[in-house]
Amino acid sequence: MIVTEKTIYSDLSKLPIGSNAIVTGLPDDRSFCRRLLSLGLTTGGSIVSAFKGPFNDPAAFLFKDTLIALRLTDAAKIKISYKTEGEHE
Amino acid sequence: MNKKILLAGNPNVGKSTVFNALTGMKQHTGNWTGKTVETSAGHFSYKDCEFDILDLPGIYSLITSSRDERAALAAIKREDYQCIVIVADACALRKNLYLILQIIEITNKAVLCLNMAEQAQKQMIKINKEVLSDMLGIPVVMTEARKKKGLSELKETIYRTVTEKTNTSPFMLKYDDTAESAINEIEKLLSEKGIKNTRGIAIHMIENSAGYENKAFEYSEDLSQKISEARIRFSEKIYNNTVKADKKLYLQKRTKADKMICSRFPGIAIMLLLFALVIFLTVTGANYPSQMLSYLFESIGNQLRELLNNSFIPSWLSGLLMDGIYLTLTNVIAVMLPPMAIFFPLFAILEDIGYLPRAAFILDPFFKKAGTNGKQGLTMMMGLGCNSCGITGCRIIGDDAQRNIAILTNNFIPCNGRFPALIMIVTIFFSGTFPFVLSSLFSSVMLLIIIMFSAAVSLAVTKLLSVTLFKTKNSSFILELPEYRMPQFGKTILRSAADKTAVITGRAITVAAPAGAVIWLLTNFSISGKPVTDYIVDFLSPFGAIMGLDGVILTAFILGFPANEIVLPIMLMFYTKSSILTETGSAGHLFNILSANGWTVKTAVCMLILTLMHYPCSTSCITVKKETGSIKLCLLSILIPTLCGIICCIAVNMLMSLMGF
Repeated sequence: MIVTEKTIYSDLSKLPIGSNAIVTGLPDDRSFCRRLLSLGLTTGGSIVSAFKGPFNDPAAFLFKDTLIALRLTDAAKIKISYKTEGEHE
Repeated sequence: MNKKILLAGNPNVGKSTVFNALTGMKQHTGNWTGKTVETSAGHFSYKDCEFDILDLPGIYSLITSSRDERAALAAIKREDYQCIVIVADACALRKNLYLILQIIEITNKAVLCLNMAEQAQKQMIKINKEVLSDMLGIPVVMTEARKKKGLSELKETIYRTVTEKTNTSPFMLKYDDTAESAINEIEKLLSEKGIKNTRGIAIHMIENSAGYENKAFEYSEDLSQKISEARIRFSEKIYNNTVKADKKLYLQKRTKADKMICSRFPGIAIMLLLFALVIFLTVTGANYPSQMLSYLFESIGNQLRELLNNSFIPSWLSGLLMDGIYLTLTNVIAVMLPPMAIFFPLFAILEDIGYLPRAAFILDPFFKKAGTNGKQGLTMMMGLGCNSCGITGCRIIGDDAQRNIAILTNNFIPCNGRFPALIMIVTIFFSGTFPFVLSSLFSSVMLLIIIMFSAAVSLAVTKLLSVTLFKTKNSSFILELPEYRMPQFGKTILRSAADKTAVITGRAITVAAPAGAVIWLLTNFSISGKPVTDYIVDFLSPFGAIMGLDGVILTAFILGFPANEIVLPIMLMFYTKSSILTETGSAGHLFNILSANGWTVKTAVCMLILTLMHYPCSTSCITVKKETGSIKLCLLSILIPTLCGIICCIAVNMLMSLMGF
């Protein structure tokens, strides 16, 4: 049994619930980017996908003890990387 | 010379509570962002100094992308204050540090007030005050403003900061070379203009380069982001050196709670149930007090009439005073006061707990489809209490276009003042003969259905407006979900109830009293033997007919412009050929009056529609003007619902006639 660790490069809207990710890129949209920065979200910062709304949108994300809700279309503008484990024979 | 103090900080840190505690004023606070937008000014004395204190809106950063931030930044840049008190949440220092650093880069005449210190203790958060004060270069005071703790130390620290020469070493964060050379460039230009805090303002100008039009200050977004990130890294360093907190357990618990509250089941059910409960309590709870008030006012009224009859005052004047002003005034108070005194405290409790942002979270997808966002759902709920409050509440919506839409569509949601009319129509025409005990439940259920319908209409018009008049560019939506807090039931309920009582009594006097006088005059003043109102009713008759109504109903709505509560009494006054406002009486009695005047099921349906869709009351109109500063928007707020109402009534009238009603 070999356990391999894979790093997936994606965006925040695709982060599975409960997973921890590192922010690799902030949005191009200036004002959106600034508001995220002022809440303490930076490149290199870690972010967790906490839970989704009843209609799967928006979703709630946790970083630095702050819980914010983002629509998936907006979350998609934030680039992240996260690790998953897979098992092979 | 009075010393001027600014009070700044993130939203939700208890800044307003600190303000209230220092000044002794009773400002209403709420557990979510965007509650305070106007800056409040207060005053307090300490030792030999007089302090004027200005409470700035809660912001996350001085970067200007919203009204709040612009207002706060303007105040800080004015440099006419002697001390700035930064209020932070001891339980969320990590997040608060960003703004703290921004501010102390601009001025070091600052005091850090770590509020909610007791709650932090309960959550096992340990903060090293001395190291924090050292690293920031400003004094740090711990407070629990809700319980009035730490305030004397705060006052003393403010006093010392203001009266003594700066003994704190100024805070300076060194950035990388590119940034530093840019900063120096700007500093030179600023000192030429006589500005004192050159470094801080220079840094801010680079970070906020979009906020400045001058090309000379156009720096790459890259540099701006570098500065922000350097500041964040440093704030993390400070946090790690000064705070010991194990938030894991707390966060796990909260996430578990949130997962349930924001889920499809039972989340949505919880929201609907809470909503239904609030409506039910408002409607049933207000019944008895309303009757009591009516009774009380009637007996006082009779005494007053006696007095006036036995005095030298001419009968027309006593008629004007009693049958016009007094009657209208007391009518409005008796109908308006009890439901609001129940609704608003209940709503305030939900707010205090921190549930409302979760409701906005759940509702957001509906509003996204309509072109706005979930916060509009909350303003609509506020509108249920009073449309004027709903309109003011639209301040929580950051985007201007979306805010205007929310303001203009708020009136589709029936306020407390319209509940009695809606319930009456439904009870009389659709409930048949229900025993009274059940009818209260029935009324609440029917009212809920009507409210759902009005919400749907509001959403439809919202969508229409968002693609036509106010093109919303679907700006990004960030909603902060704050910590759950134990509400202070006593204080919240009592303060909310007292607030509303004052507002309503005030409004009744300023609006309903003159309205009552005007209505009495029109009804009792005759031209060629016919009262003026008769002419109005006759004139409006044909219009009423097309809408499935009659001239009396339309006249009642027009004369009821000052306050929705008097539409029904005016209507009954005309129907019973009385010359004074008439009480509602029993359901059966009412049914007879209405049937005798030509009412059918069709009339009832059209009346329902018009009640839901017509111009806002005078107070709401004024509020629209105040909140938007635009007469054009005020006129639109009148036009849009009225037009919808007229069109719908005509359509329904035609439809129902075709169906044989």
